[in-house]
Amino acid sequence: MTNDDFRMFLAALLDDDQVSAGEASTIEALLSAAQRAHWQRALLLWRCRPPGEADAWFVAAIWPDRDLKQFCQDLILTLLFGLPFENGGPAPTGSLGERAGRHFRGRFWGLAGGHPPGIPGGYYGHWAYPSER
Amino acid sequence: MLEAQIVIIGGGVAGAVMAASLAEAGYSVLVLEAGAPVRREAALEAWASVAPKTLVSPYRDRENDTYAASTDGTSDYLGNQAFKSTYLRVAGGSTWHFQGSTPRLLPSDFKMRTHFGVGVDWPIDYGTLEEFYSRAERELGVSGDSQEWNDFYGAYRSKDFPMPPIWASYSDREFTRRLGDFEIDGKPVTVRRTPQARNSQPYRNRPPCAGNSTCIPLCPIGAKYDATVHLHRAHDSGAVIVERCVASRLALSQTDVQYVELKRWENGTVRDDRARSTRGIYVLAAHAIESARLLLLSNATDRSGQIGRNLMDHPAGTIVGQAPDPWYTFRGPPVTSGIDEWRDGPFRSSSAAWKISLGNDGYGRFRSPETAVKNWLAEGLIGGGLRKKISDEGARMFRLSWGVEQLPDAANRVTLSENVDALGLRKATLSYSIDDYTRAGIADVRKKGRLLLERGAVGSIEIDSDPNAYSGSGHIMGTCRMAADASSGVVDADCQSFEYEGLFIVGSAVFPTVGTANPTLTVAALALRAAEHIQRRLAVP
Repeated sequence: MTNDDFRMFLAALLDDDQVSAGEASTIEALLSAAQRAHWQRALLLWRCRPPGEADAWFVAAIWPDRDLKQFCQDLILTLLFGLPFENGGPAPTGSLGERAGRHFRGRFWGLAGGHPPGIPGGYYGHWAYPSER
Repeated sequence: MLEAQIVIIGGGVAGAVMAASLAEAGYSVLVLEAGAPVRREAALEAWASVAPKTLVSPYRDRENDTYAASTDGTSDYLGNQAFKSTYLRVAGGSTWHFQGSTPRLLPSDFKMRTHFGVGVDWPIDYGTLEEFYSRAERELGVSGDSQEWNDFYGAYRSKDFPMPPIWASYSDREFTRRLGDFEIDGKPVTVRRTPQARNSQPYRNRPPCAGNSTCIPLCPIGAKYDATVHLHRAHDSGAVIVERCVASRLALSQTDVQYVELKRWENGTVRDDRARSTRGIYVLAAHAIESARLLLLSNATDRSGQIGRNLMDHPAGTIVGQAPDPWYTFRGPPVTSGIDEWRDGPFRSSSAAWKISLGNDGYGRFRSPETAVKNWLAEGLIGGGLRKKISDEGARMFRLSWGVEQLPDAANRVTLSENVDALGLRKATLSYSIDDYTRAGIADVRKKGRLLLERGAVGSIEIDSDPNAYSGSGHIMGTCRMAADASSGVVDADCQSFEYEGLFIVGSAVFPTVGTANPTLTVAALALRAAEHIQRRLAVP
């Protein structure tokens, strides 16, 4: 297992090439023993995937396996909202500030043209104008 | 034994405003708060770091939840599923997670029996409270457009709002633009900027709103008012605030309060204590449910039979849909504008008044972003398809939220449960339902809400059709009604108990009827008025 495998796997889950090695390391460090076992199984499949559309591969190769599907969806929710894993994950790690930071960096807000609840929008009244995304 | 000239039970907005007012006037004041103090930074971190983001997630504390429990949507503290609202028992009370909207009641709201033949009349009218509304707006720091609201359904204003309005959101403006000149049943629809206790400019050492979008469950910078503002002011003027201190019984004589029995909890231990007013002034400001509970626990005399009765809320709901363009609603305060036309009218003889708020937070409580994403994942979306879905639909989520008037009903009440809490005190239990008057209002707001969204070119509209489907507004009112005489209420027009000399009850508990205004400003106005009455009374040797 290499960190780059995990980074690319995360990137494919959300078709987002902005997933960094550091972010992948942070999320990987959160995995429970059970989730690490899921990742090992997913990795074997991932390395054998045919070239082509990743979205279709996930649906065909991963979704039929309930545990792997749940694992992947938890990873997506973590990328989008910075949440600790909701299903079978370990207790949240890191300081409260670090965990809050992960939440604030969630991708959902930027995609939706909003911003993460809990940090300022930058200047007073920004909400009165179209999003700057 | 704790002692002061004035003993106040409850450190929410009613108790805190009164404590600051009386302490600044030079009286010694003791505030007894059941819950713990809240540190804003810790609450924000706690909220950001937990997966289930609920109204109370920033305030979870095992010991507070044990000794100063309240309803939070998951506990069975109150044992009633029909009553949907929650409250917070910490220093500062539910203002920590309130939305911040602070409209005034309308003149007709005070005279429902006279004007519409339903409900009851208050023993005071709008004119009696107007100057205190103005004072409350300055105390809390309310932003609003005075011209827009002056004389709205007769609610005249003697003073301007202390701050200009919070800017209407982009989605509000887009929705308003698409409504254009629109009438429903011959009534022109106007989108108004909602008065709110949220700074639009620096105000009394608090910053302007920075658009953190997390007013519910807490403002991270204190731009939104919460009652700790007044707790701090009271403290700075010499008041003593005692937290983790549950009032368990009022020791009552035939005519007055002798002292308050307390359960003080900390670090897993509970000890008994007492508090006494040296001037015989006790103020019960412990929320509509807890105030009634304490009176019942104290076996208070109740000639009117009204203690605990007429529990009310503003049953609420949401109508959502997809905006025609990206309106980017996940920004700014949750509500900056609303539609208030149906807060009054002749229809109130048979159907509840209502108001609508325009949301700036996607689908709001109807469907959180996390839930929306989970639904899309369940549909099989992933990767680029999921990103596109979020980018497209996430930016077009739009909601209207409605709140409907509820009439007093003696059967809706707080009584004592046979079950006890961790302090050995009998819990409150609720009887509650909504009636046909409220159901008619719900049907009307849903019908008109759909028309509004359709006119605004909002598609994929989702409206609950169940006449009994509603949520709570967190506006917990009634249970110790104000009345003209002892036969029909618990307190008089000055919030003084009919039964016990020197006992005052403040807060939304005293509302005889509730109109459609969010209650906080009226709570503060009544507290200021009662504080003035207490000062006059204490000034007499």
